[in-house]
Amino acid sequence: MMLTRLRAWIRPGRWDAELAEEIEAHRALKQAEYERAGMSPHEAAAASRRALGNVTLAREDARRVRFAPWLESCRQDVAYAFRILRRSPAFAAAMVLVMALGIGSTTAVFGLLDALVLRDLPVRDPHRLAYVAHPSFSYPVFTELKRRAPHVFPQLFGWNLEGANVQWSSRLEPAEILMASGEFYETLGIAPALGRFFTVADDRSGGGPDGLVAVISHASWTRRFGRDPSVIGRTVRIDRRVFTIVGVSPAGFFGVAPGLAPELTIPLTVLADRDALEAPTRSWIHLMGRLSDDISVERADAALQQVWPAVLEVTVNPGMPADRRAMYLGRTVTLHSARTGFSRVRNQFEEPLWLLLALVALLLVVATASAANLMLARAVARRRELAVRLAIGAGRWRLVRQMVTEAVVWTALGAGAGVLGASWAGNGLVAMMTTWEDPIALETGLNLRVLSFTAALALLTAMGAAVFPALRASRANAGATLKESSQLTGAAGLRRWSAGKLLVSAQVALTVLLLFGAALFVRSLQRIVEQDAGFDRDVLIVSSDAQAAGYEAERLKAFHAALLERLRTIPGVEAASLSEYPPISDEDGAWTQSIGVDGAPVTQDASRYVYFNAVTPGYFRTIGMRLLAGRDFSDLDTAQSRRVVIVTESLVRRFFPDGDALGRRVSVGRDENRQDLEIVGIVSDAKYQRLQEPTRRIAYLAIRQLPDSMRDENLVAEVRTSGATVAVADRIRQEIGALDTTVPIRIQTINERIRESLVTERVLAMLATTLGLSALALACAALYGLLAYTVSRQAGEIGLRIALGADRATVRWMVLRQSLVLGAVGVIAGVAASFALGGFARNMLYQVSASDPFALAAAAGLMLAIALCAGLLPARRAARVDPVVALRVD
Amino acid sequence: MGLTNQPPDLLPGTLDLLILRTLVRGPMHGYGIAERLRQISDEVLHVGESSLYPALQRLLMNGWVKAAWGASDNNRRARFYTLTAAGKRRLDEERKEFQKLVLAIQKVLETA
Repeated sequence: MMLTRLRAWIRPGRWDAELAEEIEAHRALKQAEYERAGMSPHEAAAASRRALGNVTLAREDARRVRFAPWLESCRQDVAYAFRILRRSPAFAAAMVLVMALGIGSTTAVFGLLDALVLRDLPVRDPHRLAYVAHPSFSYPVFTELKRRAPHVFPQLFGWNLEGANVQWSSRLEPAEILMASGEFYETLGIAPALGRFFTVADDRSGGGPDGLVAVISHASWTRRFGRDPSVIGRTVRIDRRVFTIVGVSPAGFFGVAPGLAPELTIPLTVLADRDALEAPTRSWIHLMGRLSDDISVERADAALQQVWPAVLEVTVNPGMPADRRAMYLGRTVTLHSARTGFSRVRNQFEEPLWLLLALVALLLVVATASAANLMLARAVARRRELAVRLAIGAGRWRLVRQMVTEAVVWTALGAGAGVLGASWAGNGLVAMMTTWEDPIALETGLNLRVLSFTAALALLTAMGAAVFPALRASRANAGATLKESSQLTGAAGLRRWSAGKLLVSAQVALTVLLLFGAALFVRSLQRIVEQDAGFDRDVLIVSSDAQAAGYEAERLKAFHAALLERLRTIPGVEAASLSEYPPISDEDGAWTQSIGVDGAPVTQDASRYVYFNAVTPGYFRTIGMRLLAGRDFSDLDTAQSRRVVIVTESLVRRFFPDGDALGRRVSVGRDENRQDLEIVGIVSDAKYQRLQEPTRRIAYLAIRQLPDSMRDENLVAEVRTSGATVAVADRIRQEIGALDTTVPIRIQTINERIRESLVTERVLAMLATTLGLSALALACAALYGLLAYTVSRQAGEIGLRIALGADRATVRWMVLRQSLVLGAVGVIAGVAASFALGGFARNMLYQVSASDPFALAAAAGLMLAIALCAGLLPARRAARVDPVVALRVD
Repeated sequence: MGLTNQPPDLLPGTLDLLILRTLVRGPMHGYGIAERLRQISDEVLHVGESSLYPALQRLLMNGWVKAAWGASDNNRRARFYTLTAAGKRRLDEERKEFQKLVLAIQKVLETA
């Protein structure tokens, strides 16, 4: 019934047409009746029309039946708004654009937050899932926990995401693989889209009855195989082992880590070596499980605490030294709800995204104020129309409602455009956050929550935009307005604080706040980039994954030797070297160990941690680190010769306060694993993992002196070039291709590595700047609009002043001063707000205070300059007023 | 609501009741309903189109009747109205109400 009414309301034309047709049919029947009674067709037609009476009135009545009267007047308001759309397209376009900007950007950021933080995992009863933290555990802990805590976790699985090289057809591609224990799918309670999922039976070292099996994601199945069902049974190489695809996961399922979308899932232990399965110190598995139905996360956590000490006791390695053992047994765990999953991408981006949401919300408020101002200006321009309507009996409430309805129409149109833009902008944001090392996959598609959010936002915005104009409309005094002339009203314009001025000042204040935020992030990013890295940034880093192409042990060593040889022969290459970790290792991680000095025993102590790298001779010269004392490694430092080490000056300062370090010994490892190393060189400090880090103490070992167990790793090459790096990069590709075409390689400069390591900071700085400038444009337009309007309303007064001898410069200053006063009031409020709110950004700033005076001055200065610019044109127009013309108006 | 075309010789709301009652026999178009009312009431009730169609729209809006286009006896396109379940219930209620009203009026007429 409501539906019928709604249909009739939305499509009045069709209803009217049907009714007309029906009445005409009625008349025709009547005519036929008259003809049967003996009338001529012509007479009968006329008679039937007479008999029917006033058809128009009948139709009107019928229509009135259809619409509740308030609904009908609502329709009129909407129709009226659309008429404005046609008559003043510029105004309408401005309204819709402003709304679309505000609502669209807010929706885009919220959409990302929803996908990354708020959305439930797409599995059965996600609220019953919980994960165990700290982040990762050893395999023995996993099995022990399964055995001892079934009352907490009737179902428990282990998982991990690991980088691997996947060969779909001919080429090797680096990809992230989800490794999950056999209980994974059953615990999550999902069903395959095709084929089967693997189970505990498949999850054993070397594979189950069907050998090595893998499940392909729905997205990958679609992209790579066009949803061909014959994908089941196909094989794919993962790190040189052949896996058979046995199933396709359901659409939308990405695993349990939002932001990451592994294409393949394989059983946890099939590729694991003995150490990974048995060593209690090898933490590599995340644990997640389904709680028993009747217990809360808190109760489950309490129960977990009961069994945890026993789990540690059973899994501890009996051969551990006492201090290590104490550390191991001291580990604690907590249980957290895994309703929305668990993800490092979330850890990285959640806080920046909330901050971003706060920033776009500010922009939305600025946009709302702009919209309100536009409507206010229109309401003033329509004062006479409104007054006339009041005079002929329209209710005030009716006028207010009309304003609100109009605002809702603009907002709805803007929100529609904004939502379209938002999914585009959301994908753009994801692309910005993604790096080669760390690809991010997020469904930014719209869902009910995002749409409800947008709808609520739009409604609030519409109310916000309509409240001032509506108040004014309701206060309109028919008599006074109709009597007043445009000249008289102008006089009050410049001085009184009208709603319009208040709005503009508020906009200025918020804009200052946004600009301040932007300035903070930009300065912070600048500070980071300006850090002295300790090496040159245009050095090329060549990452090759020879292991993926099957090189091991001696062959791997030979490959690296050949690679270095070839790199050094390329014209334009000044120097080349190899190392275990590249400069700015970022996602590649770090190698840290405690050291002892001069034969003292090595103890576990954070203050004795040192960062390690292993390099070939020439490394320091290649990347541009300075040798301060002693010598570089040479080809004479071999496995047979004395163990040597080169250390940074910070390490010397920490461990050898007397400054005399050359020739002294440092030791790593303990007991039978202990190694003594002689310091043969001291180099300048350098950044290790990223630019933001405090200066690390670094020790460099000679690669050729590493034990064989540590040499079975891919090495990266550093290449110092003279001149065009691009041409050299091409040659490097050729040379490696000549060695082996199947080895995946990647070439980038250190600078590019720095850029990738700063993705969060860059995204924040860029977006905050964009938002700040958008707000600035809106505030500028609002200021200009207000002043231009005031000047045009005031033409009479200005004309009078000029006629009485006022200097034109004085007139110009009068308007400019107005602009500056408005700007200054806003700026003062904005500065106060910035001081109050800057603290929220503190965590994301590097060496910049949250109340940084430079950032504040920049934001305030820019805003004032723009306020001045906004006033220039209206001021010029005011100075040009011709008193004769101005005074003759009206 | 301004002007209405309620025929002066009918009690308010009665027309709805009469239409619903007429439709009990099966689907009918507007003309048929008007004719039927005239016949049954021995030519007393002349329902003008000006009140018939607004009434039908009202019934339609309230969900008491359904409408569908079909062919009339002489093969013209006509809109046929059918009583819905809600319409039947409504008819019963209206009928009781009406009888109460008639009784009350009778009582007044006889005793006053």
